[in-house]
Amino acid sequence: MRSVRAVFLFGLVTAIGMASPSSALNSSPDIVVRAFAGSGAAGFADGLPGSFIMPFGVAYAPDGTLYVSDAGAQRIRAVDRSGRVRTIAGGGTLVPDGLWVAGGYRDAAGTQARFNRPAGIVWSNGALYVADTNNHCIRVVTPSGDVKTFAGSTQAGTSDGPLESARFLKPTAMAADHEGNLYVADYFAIRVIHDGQVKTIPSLGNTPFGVAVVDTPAGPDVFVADLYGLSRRDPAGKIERFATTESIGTGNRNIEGIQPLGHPFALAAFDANSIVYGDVRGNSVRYLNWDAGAEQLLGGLDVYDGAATSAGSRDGRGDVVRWDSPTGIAIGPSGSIAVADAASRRIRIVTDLDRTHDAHPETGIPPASKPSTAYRVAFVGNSYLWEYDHWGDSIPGMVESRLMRDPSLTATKRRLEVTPYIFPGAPIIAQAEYVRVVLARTHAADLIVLSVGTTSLFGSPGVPLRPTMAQIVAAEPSWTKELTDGLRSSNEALKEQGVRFVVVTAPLPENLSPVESLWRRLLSEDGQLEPSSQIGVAMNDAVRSSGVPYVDGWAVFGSESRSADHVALFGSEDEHFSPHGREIIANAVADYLRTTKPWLK
Amino acid sequence: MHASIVSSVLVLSLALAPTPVPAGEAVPGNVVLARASGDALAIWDATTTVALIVKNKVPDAAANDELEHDAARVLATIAPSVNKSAKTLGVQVVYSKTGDVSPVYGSPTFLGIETYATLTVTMADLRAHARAWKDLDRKTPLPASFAFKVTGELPPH
Repeated sequence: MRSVRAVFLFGLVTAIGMASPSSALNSSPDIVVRAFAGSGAAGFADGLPGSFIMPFGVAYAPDGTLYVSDAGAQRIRAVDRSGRVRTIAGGGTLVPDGLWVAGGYRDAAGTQARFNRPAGIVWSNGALYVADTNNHCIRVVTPSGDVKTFAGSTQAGTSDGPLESARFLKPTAMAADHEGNLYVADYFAIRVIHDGQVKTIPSLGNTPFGVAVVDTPAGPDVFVADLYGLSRRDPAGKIERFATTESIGTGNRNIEGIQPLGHPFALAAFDANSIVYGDVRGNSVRYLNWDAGAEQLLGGLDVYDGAATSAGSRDGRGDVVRWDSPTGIAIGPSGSIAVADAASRRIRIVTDLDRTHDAHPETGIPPASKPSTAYRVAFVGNSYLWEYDHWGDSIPGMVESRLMRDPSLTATKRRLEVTPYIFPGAPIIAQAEYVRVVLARTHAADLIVLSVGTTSLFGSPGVPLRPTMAQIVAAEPSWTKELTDGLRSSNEALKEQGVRFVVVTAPLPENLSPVESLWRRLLSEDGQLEPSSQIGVAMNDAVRSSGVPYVDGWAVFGSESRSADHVALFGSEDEHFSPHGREIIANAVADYLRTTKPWLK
Repeated sequence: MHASIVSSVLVLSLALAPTPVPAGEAVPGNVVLARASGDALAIWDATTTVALIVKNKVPDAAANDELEHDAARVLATIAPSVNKSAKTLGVQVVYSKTGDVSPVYGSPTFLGIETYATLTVTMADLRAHARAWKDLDRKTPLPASFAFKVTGELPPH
């Protein structure tokens, strides 16, 4: 599932983008992919399953019909809910070798119309708008199949202006907002069509391939996939970027610093914080929780050149799924994801994407939750404890699986519902304030589990955002007082609302035996091998003084670290827990909750 | 809050286009009803509005006025969700605080939630005026009965 990591760089900068040749990211085990339309054989037969030559773009209409631009057959096809394919516009005959249909240009009704590589499509205002790439213009297609040129002409160019006189250059993708404004991924930039005028959006998209729009109360958020990665532009014009492996630069966010983004091509947005995109180069489909920087594969491998190593058309669950040039993506009414898998010549559908465990970003109050009888547990903290590749391997996920069948819980007839609230890089005082001001009063949970680790002290009073252990020790009087006071206030606020509170403390490798995460410590600039265990004493004392019950992760890890059968508790390259490390903390938390049974009080 | 952090507070810029929210449009930001009866209380995430105030360098008095107006509209919108037995309804205006850019993530660090102010009205007043307050524009004078208690600070701007 998703990977939420915090890469804390102590002196030595981990080589960014240096993923191993094999997959650094595993596919979500839960997703299911199945072929929906197209036999896989090249053609443009209507019917069930029908056939395509190169299905390129997909778009849902409000009635659930899925429209497909077949760039190889020069046709616009409609697929009903049963998967039956019908051509609604475009035509032309196969070239002699039978591999594609030559393009053309003609505004006309139905199969009399001609396209030349119709690519991105979008439904808006009761019609389909098509980026007719090699005709350098935007066409509009009614549901009955009448085709007209909507903007631009067959003359390529980049000029803005009224619909007829504006020019496009190989438009590839399209999106629309709720007001009917159209967004076009044109060769050099994103263009917006508004009120009869075409305008270029400055500084957004560098050879853009894909575009998606989400309507927010403040205006549209625009997502772009381009040659250098992913961008999100908010209504005020602020642009935030994730960079691909090849183009790491200052000002760009990298997923964890070592997590490659692949090569985003087509994309679609669930909401202002979550998108799904296809990687045509790596042949994968990926889901991204933007604010948390958490990514998961939805089939395919996390490789550089998927065509050489992993391309294919394999349906199934999780890791077995293979893609072959996913060029178009659309999100269906029920949250399923339609993918134009161009080289497999099929439309494939992804279902069972679990977004219920999406980490909440640190942007204030989450939306009001629906009334629920579940016993809700919020895991709050920075990504150090609650990070996960797969939900099932994460500490919150393991705690969930260990508790969900606890007899005393099931006797309450309440199911367990676990939600992570992750604040990358945020100091513990800020997180405690969030608990007090937001979670306590919005009834977001019945139990809050807050992680307090050495990394939670970064940015605390007297502690820099990237400190040495010596700096943390020197600032101890300041952060211990703030920690005690902050936790105490949060506990009081939670008690008023009848919400239970427990803290989990945890060390960094630097705080334990010198053998933990030894490779990274040997390379670090301060060469610190001597453990700074006094931080743990001060931290646990501060938590104890607050009156909040806690699980002493330092004691749990210390015991393991001293064991004659030592098993790595952390990774070699960074200080995140190893699977064994996660497991022992999860066991300690689950044991504590099984013993205290907060759901009974 | 420590001076070193206050001096570097930025506001998450989920900003509106630089024009006031027109009457009739929803005030941006999630609103949650924290208490539905007695002295009922709603919490409004005003991060977007505060970001605009910072961006446009709105003077404090005018900023206060804007937030009070928008809080009144939030009250009017959430009023139907309050129990009939409630005596008063307050809306607490909060926003997310951000600090220095994280050297790891390249984005501003979350520094917590500031509770800026609370606007409280009686339910009798609310029932009488909710319709008018829903479309309140920022130029309309606010009723004298409004109690807008400021307990926090806006970011430096």
